[in-house]
Amino acid sequence: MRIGTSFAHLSGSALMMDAQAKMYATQNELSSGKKVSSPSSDPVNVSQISTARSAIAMQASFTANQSFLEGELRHLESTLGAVGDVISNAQQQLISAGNGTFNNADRASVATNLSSLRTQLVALANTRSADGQYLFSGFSSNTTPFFQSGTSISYGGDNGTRGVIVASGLAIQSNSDGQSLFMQVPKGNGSFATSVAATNTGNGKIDTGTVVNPAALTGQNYELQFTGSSTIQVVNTSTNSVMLWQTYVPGQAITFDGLQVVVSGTPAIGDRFTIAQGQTASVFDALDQAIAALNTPVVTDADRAKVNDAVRQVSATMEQAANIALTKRSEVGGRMNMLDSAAAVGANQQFQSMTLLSRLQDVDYAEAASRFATQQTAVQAALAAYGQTAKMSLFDYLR
Amino acid sequence: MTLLSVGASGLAAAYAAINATSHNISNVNTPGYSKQQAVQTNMPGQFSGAGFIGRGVAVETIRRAYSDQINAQVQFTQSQSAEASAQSTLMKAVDKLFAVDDIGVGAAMDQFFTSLTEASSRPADMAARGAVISSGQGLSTRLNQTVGLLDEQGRNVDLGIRATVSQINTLAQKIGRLNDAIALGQGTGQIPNDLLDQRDEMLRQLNEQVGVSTLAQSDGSLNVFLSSGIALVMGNTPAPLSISFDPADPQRQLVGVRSTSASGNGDITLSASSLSGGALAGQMKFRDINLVDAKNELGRLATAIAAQFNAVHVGGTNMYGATGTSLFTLPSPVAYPSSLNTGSGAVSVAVSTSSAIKPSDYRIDFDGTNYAITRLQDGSQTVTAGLPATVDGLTISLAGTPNPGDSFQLQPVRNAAAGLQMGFTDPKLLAFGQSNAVGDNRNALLLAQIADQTVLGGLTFAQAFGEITAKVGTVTQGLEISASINDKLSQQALADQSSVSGVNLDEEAANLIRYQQAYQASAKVIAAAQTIFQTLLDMGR
Repeated sequence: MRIGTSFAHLSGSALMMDAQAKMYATQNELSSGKKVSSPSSDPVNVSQISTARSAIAMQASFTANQSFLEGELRHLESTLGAVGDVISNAQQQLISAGNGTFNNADRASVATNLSSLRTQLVALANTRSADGQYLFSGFSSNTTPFFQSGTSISYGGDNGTRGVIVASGLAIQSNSDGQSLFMQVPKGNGSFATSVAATNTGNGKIDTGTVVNPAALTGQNYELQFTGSSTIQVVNTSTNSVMLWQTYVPGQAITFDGLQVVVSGTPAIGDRFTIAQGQTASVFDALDQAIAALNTPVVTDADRAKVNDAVRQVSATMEQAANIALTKRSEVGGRMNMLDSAAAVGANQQFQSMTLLSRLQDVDYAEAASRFATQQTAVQAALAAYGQTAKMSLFDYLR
Repeated sequence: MTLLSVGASGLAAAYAAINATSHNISNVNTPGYSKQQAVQTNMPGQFSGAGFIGRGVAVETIRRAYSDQINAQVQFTQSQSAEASAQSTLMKAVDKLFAVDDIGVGAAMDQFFTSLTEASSRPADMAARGAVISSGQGLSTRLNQTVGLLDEQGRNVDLGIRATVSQINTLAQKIGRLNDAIALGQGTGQIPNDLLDQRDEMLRQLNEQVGVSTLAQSDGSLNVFLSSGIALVMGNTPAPLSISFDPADPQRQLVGVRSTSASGNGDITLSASSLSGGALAGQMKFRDINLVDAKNELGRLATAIAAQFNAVHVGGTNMYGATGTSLFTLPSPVAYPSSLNTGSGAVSVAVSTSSAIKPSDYRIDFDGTNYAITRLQDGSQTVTAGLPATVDGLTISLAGTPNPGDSFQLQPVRNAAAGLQMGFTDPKLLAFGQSNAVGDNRNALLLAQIADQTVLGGLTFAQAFGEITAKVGTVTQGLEISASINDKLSQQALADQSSVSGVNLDEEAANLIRYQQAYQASAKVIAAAQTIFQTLLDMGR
């Protein structure tokens, strides 16, 4: 085949250009460390590269949220622990106040201790997180949740539960409800609360009672009335009907409508004991009740019975509050476990995404370097061949 | 004296051959030049009793080494190669814009989503809210800029098309003139080789600009036609191409042949699909298909982002206790009536289901009874007897009365990415809550979770963007492959042409010696004749 001289030069230089272009493309890969510089470099995988990058970015924000949430939950847990401690201190104070040898001054000193515990509890209930938001005020996180209103503490927050996204489709609650913890503690044994009427003149007392048949509970309120020296009349005050008469034997259980109470001591005629179901109290009001009772001088047996009854009632409430604080604390612990596993899964996914991304877009240096060497040889060969052929001419031999 | 004339004919022939060889050597680098050769023929002998005595040599003609078939092959492959390379070069710039890196649209989208995720956990944190605003602005700016660069490219292509058209017109004019000169040369009975070469070169150059076919005329001139059959050169008369604007889309520059009628109704316009080969076809295909696709893909993404986030955002409450306003704003979808319409109909389009929209423009044709709504991306058609109608998540409405034959062009998403903006810049206006409480993050959680939802044709935003990059990559790679194949084919055709028509200097050197020796030998013949003659004369002395 004939070769046109001009074309031979052109195609020779085109081959050199081609070999050089390939070599520079590889050089580019080697210096950038990426084998995919634009979508056309790898259209099959570019979509995966793009989604892997998105997944890595999203996971990074989940990780940021995880550490934020961890801080919040740790703070919440330690605060709930402190709340539990204060409540348990108050319980001990209340137990000591039941000491029969205590005089008025001893009781007043317990009241002072309780009062300081109450202050601590209010401070804990108004704890703020690192960013200045209240822990126990729900969504109203910049509103002081617990504040003195008249003689009692009011709640200014709401029941909002704030979720923090820690993984795709998984939000874990970061706060805890202050209302159920501090403001709506069930009174008595958690089902019903017993109390001695303020007008009683005898020293009869009532225990906290137990539920013997939960199915038979009515949710209604009752009154035990001493109509005679040895007769108790049980009245359902919700329906205003007399339930039963029973001969009063001190210390004998009185059972009706699934519940059971024990009255002891010597009630006077006309004395009453109330049984109220489903009542809640604020933990602060309960402490206030105990402080007020302990600050009231005891003169008569009836006075003593009332103080003791108040201490008993508040103790029961504090026990409920302690349970709630414990439950909430373990619930926070459960959330931390969830967070830990979400973090572990997330870290694993992050690793997978990064491995995938690296496999798809990063240069295999060994392969690229050897490819570069091959291409370099090709360029050198093209240059050498062109140099040799281009200078050959018959004219050189015609002299 | 026969001997002298025989020798002289040999001298003349060798001289002509040396001349042709020198011409070849001089034109070794002339584009389009075909090597020439003096075709010699022996002259018929003179009858004598001893038979026919040769009378020497004659140069019959100067012939160029040429193959019609190979020449046509060169023109065709170069035309195809020019188209593929024009389109592929332009597309590569788009490809770079969609690079998956830390500064692209994908990264900006990721940043917006992650800032929302982080802010959702601390709704009262002004810094986190501020980050949402700035990353939202980052996303809209990135989309605006990307489309801005695409538009810039579109304007450059329009300029390129103008340049191509003016080059086509110049070449057509030159071919017309060469046709004239060739017809004149042909009249002498000999072939004007060099003019033919020049015309072939002009045709090759023309084919690089636009694919053409030719029809040879008996006088040697060539009529040149575009692939759609439109005449570009008839004899010595070129029919210049001109630039006009699309009656259906005033933004679009068209190339056509202007009719002589004043109304402009006889204008013939060239569409990307009617052209085959040449830079013009590549430029028009890029502008009318690839660029529009890229803008529509980004526009669809922007439209869906605005629709999805706004729908959730307006369900929330901001820090001023007011209902959320639009998080993003979009320009209105565009609908143009054709400038050729005679009725009063005006069409408007609105997005009704953002997850169902397609990255395409639409055309509506009214035939007097029905409205045919054509999705221009793939040609799929919906026919409806009345408007409003809902197609692909779009509600298309009509005001006024169109006449039969009227048409409308819809660009529901094409400008969306260019005009996407944050609805506000005050971080307090972010509606993160569903109540007045500052710590309420319920709506922020809903906003953050949009990133996980399948919002666009069954894909999440991240997946949808990945799909866009894959489309761009596939198209670019396809064009690159096609350009490279076409380049190889055209190189092959050029090699074939060079083997037939190209000048080889070594061959010419050999020829030079060959003809030089023939010349010297013929000169020797004359010298011999002179000696013989002298001998005769001396005898007479």
